[in-house]
Amino acid sequence: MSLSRTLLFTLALSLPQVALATSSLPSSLPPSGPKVQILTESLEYPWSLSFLPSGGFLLTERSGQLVTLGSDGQVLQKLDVNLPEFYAAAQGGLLEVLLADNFAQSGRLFLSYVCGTANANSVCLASASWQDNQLTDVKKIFRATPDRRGAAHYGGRMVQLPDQSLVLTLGDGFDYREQAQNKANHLGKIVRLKQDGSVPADNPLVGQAAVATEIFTLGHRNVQGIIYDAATGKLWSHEHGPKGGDELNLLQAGVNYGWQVATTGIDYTGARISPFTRFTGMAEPVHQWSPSIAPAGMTLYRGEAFPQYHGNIFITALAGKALHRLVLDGNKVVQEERLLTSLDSRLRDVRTGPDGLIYILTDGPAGKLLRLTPQ
Amino acid sequence: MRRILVFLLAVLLAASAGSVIQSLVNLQAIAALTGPIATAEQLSTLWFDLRHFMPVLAAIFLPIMLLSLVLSRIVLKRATLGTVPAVFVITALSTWAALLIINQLAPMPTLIALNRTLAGTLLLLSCCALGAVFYHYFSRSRSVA
Repeated sequence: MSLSRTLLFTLALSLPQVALATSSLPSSLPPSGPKVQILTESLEYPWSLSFLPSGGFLLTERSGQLVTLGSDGQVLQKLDVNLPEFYAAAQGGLLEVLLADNFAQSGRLFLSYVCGTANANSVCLASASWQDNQLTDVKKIFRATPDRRGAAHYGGRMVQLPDQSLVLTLGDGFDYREQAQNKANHLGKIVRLKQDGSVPADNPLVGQAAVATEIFTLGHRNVQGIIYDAATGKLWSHEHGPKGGDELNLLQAGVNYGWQVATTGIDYTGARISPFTRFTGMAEPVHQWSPSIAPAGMTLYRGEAFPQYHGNIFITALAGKALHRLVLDGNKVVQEERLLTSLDSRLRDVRTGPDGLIYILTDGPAGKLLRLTPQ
Repeated sequence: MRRILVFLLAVLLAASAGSVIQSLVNLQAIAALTGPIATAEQLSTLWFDLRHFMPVLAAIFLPIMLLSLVLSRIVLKRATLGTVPAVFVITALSTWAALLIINQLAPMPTLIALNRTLAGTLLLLSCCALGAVFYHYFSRSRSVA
């Protein structure tokens, strides 16, 4: 979707606004603003960033480019990925690039992307080899079912767990929100797969009848942030709420996270989506944002360059145009700080680099790669 | 002045009907997932939607109804048709066209939840069309021919 269209509709629909509760967490942390360096400009809707063992970057552009950057941010190559049934429109296209844990030896990587046609599309996952700056041995290993019309709410973020399984986030397809509670399909779910696309035997729904056994968790709207914290063994995700009700969740296998039954958000038209803000048997979010910030990327900082940020979660916000820093106390968010607001940019992705610095992709047709360094 | 008031009342009634129908359809969908919903919760949702969704729907319906009534007047001057059916059909088709345009322009696939299904769309079109018929019937000049 274009920014102008989003703004137009936000204005058009802002006549009767419901007064939604805003986060009341303290935000008066001491100024700790990192220094922002622009490494690269003119990226076309960059979506996901990864770090090559050789020191450069590999990132995706939603239109279907896999971009190689040198360690100084110089664009070395833009490769048109030739993924099976690739489809790019609105929110859909090439999404995440995830390097396998053994990438340095194997060259293996995973790409999530939208596949199909305007009237029948879904999220696909492909594995491939990255050799000599070329993508080879591309195999589609998963396709979420069922297909949907429209090009919204795909999810598409990935993380690799210590057991080498992949966790892939998905969305509800916007028009199919009730399906997030249907265990027979992948809409509004987070799935867990082996690296060949098969289902791990210890997935929570394995053994049950008439269910999609790839499901890891259910009841999600549009999950565009997931991280595994090796230090604590916790798996965190965030998801876009509708108008209000963006959530930070602590994921546990088999748990229902409530969408669309339990939400504090309302429809963009002002209509109520559900009478329930919580519901028995459905997990409540660890933290939520109303009005929405549109969370789109996430990292949990374990680097050394910013000792004051150790253990903090960083979340990039599109609508919120800020980098949210969340201070955790166990499973609770106890402080929140908005950084980079002066950039006035929609922020798409955030990662902790191997050098302990924080890297950010801004959204848009002239997206940037930013590096945050200590003052 | 009377025509304006009747027109605004027609828009209000059409949007209110659309709001109530959407609330009920949505509550039914939620109840299918949760089991029965308490009456108080249902009434609260109906009231919430009337306060927050109905004005948005009225803002969408108003130009559609205005345009449809003008169009009906033009059509009925040139063709011998039943006035009420003509107003109903022309307004329903205009609403359908408007929803298609809105959904093309909107960042989401379908702006109004009720518009996600064929049955819901037909109900939405009917609300707007009945509003136009209401105006036609209760405005001073009952014949647009």
